[in-house]
Amino acid sequence: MTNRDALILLCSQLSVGQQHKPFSNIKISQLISKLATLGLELKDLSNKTFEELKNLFYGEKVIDEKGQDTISQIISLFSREGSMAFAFMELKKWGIDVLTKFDEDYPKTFIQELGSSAPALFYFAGNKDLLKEEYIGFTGSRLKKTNTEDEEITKAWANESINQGYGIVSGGASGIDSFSTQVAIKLKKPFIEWLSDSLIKRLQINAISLSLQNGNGLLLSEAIPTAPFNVGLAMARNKYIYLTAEKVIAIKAEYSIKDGKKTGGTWNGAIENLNSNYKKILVINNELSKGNKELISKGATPIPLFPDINFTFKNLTATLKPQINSEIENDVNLIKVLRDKNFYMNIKLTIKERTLVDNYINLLETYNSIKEFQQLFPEKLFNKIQKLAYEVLNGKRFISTSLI
Amino acid sequence: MKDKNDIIFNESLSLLRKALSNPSADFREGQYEAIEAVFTNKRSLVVQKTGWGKSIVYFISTKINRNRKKGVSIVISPLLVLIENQIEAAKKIGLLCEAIYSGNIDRHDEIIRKLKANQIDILFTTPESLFSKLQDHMNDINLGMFIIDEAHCISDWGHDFRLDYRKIVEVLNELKNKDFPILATTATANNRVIEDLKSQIGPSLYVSKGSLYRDNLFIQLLDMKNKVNRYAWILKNIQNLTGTGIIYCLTTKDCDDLASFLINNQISAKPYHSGLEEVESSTNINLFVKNQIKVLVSTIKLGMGYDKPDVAFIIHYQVPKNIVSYYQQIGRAARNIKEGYTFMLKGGNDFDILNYFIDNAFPEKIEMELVLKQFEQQAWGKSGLSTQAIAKNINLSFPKIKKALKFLEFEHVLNRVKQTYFLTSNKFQYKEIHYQEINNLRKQEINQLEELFETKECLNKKIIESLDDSTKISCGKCKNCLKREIVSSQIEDKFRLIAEQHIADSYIPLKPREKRMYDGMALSKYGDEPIGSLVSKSKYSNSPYPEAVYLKAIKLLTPIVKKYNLQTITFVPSLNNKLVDDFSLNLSKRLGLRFTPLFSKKNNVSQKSMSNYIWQKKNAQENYSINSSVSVIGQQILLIDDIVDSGYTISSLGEKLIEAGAKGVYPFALSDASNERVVDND
Repeated sequence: MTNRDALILLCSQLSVGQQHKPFSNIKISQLISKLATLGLELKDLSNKTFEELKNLFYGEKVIDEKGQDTISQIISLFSREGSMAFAFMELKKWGIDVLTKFDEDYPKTFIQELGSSAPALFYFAGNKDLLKEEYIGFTGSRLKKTNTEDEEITKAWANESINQGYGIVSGGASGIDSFSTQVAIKLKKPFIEWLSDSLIKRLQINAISLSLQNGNGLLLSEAIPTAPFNVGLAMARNKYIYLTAEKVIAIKAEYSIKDGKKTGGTWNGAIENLNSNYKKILVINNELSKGNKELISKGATPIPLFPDINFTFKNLTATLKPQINSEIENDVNLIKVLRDKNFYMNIKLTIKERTLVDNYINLLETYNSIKEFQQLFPEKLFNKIQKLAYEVLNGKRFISTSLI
Repeated sequence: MKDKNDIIFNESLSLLRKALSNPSADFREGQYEAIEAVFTNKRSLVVQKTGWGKSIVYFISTKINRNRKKGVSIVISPLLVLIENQIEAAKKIGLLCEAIYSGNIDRHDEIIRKLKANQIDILFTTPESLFSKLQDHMNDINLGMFIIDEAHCISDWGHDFRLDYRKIVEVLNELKNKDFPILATTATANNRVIEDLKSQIGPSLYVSKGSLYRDNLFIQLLDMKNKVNRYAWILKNIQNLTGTGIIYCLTTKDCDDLASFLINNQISAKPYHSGLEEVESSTNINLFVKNQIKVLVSTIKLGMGYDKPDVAFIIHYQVPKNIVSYYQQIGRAARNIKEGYTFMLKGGNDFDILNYFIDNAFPEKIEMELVLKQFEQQAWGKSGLSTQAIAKNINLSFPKIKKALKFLEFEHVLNRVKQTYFLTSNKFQYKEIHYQEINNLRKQEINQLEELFETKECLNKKIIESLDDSTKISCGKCKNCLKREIVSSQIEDKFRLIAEQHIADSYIPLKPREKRMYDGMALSKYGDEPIGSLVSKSKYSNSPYPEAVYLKAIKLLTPIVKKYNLQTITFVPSLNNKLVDDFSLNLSKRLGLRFTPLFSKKNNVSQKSMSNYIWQKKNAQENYSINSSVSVIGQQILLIDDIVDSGYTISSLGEKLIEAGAKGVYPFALSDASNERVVDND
């Protein structure tokens, strides 16, 4: 068995049935790192009995304090090999395969940017070589919230992108996403869709499957190909669009207010990326769109309703550093502290806590979200560490570090 | 094999001795090697004749695997009969054995529950049940081993390739672990098929191959051109053969007709083929299993996996599809009795029919492209197509459309969700060379059959040679070794007369598509001796139908006229000739019915150029008009056509008569030329 095969058996959400609990992206990263410290690889775990695995991790806590459960989990996941073969047989009928972190074609930027939370695997159909091309991303509302003008604007910018030698990348939803894809299909140029769900349903659009057959299209999804819509994954795939694209055009960033917070697919994606990818975001300067106007006021680069004759994506540079809302900024700085080895050396921990932290010390710098740290440590320890980190941020505690 | 793995060997041997309740039993040649290969990373293929002891290899391998805390073994077999024997045998070795197949639907839920609780060691199932029933529950079942019986079905080079078996290979190919135990078995694989299985299951496949020679089969071949002689010979000799046996026919229709012929002549026979209702099938086979009938008249539906131990004789009414099928079918005989008698009858045009099937086995490239093209012409949105929707747009026969769809699905260019086809992301490529090579091979296998009728050599030897088994034998049991007939080919006139009579009285039921019409009849199959051939000669030479046709028509119609109180004869007109007009007129006089031409045909768009029923129906409705000046209200009408094909014309005209007020319409045709013959491929 290869590492790739082992990764699929341990992480795929196919064939979970009633008993199997696949590893999350983060947990599998931790497992791989852990194994590396023992001089082992993922594939070494296959075909092992419970006792053998226990011996393998002798004296070490595996991932979390429930080491024993992790061993059972590994055994249970490997035992679904037979049933998983049936699931893959069904997927192959559609021409669907998986792209894993261990594959050559897995985009390097995903690992660099997302670290341990980079998806362990994607399901895909179509030409995976297309990941090597350059793209302009398109985000915007779903079909119900778009009008003919939105369609015209999208198609004009998609045409412009293709004329300038780019492919089209989007989230493959109805509305703006599909308008942009349709332009690529019509011109027989590359397109990528990062789907949040229902890969098979997307394939059932003849125009799409024909393009895939001809090597012009690629559909990818972190969710299993039969998965129904899921808000979390719909939000998560925004990141993948931003990572694949040179520039991302927000055609229409509508939001609604929920629990006092602004929320909306395009909006959230843009806000999230205004931080790390602010240079990439282009927003249609549409007087009628409140969301677009706000994004521009936060520092996103405005572009006109329709491309003018001198427009080029290449020369576009963001002029001002965006003003990111304070909540996110806090998070970013908090992460910087939590990733810093020096921080841990300078805080007071119990022996038990210290052991736990030391176990993961080399992993920590690959983490990109508060949530990852949260999942890593027991709740009490995390709260303590977070409190101390905030003290550092607020200047109440000083540590010598290059980051702060 | 180099060094034996001591642990596996000792474990296996003690299990074998336990299973056979014999403390000094030893493995037969190849048995242990096959078991070891399953566990030493080599996937195992067993090519051994029936009776060699494949089951014991299944059972011991399973037991070893279960001792290692692995999941259930799944045995996939095309046909599960006598499964109780397997379950009993498994018990002896301490295995919990169950089966999931169409024969025990009432127990499926219970068995699936046990599977999920890991309470079953070995499960027998059919590909159909595996991919419909079991697959839905697979996520909660821990699989430990795949055992594929009749593994030659995987290969389209084999004589009995099955789509469901290709799906099994696709599952095997998705197994992540190259150590996952796989055991494949077959009694009929030549070297070409073995090579293909290696390329599909894995290059390191360990092959255990033994001699395929069956030393207890008498073989006689008889060249009997016409149907009357074959019927008569069978009738004459079947009573004299001891025990019970099987007659193999190629088509479902031949099975039904031959069985009814035998029944009419006081021989207890039953048909068995895929055209029968499930209940009738299983009733018939059970009667056979319990030896309550003399003979089962079957298509190849009864073939693989059928292990009745005491089949005493096998008769081939026609030449079977190829020499490997032949070997397999005669191999049903004398599994567990001293000897079996086998007779292959050769009909006049058997080889023409077989060649026709080969030539039409694969869809044409242009047909597949035409079907695919239908998927391109659709707007944005979820867009699948049904067979019906495709047939509406292209003038291609349903069988051809279905064949094209089947292959496109098989190649994963299309995928089917229930009855709707969708494009996939896989590009279409027509495998012309592959198809050509297979056709060539199939023709070669037919030639090998033809050569059997010519050769003076030992027939048993020639047969196993075709399976690349070069065991040197001189069987002493075939016609060539004995240098005499085993059963005389002479037929007395009294048998010939009975057969002639039966054939003269037989007809083909005509089921009109218009349900308000009566079920009618066709006198013959177009081109078949004797009537069908007379009809075709008259059509070609545009000469009146001969007296024999009238005689049979009058004989069969007289009771019908009485039964339905028919009063009027009318007919389906043709613009080409007046054959059917004249026939109807003459027949009306001889039957004493009123002759009333009621229809006129507008233009000459031949119904034959309409390839599927959607087009045929439209054409029939548009091209014929009813003469409204003649009242048919309340009448019982005999509606005559010379040749029916799809049945749309006659049904459409019947519908017009009923719409015009006729009380009833009985459809009648001289010949049925509907489509290609239906060979039962199960």
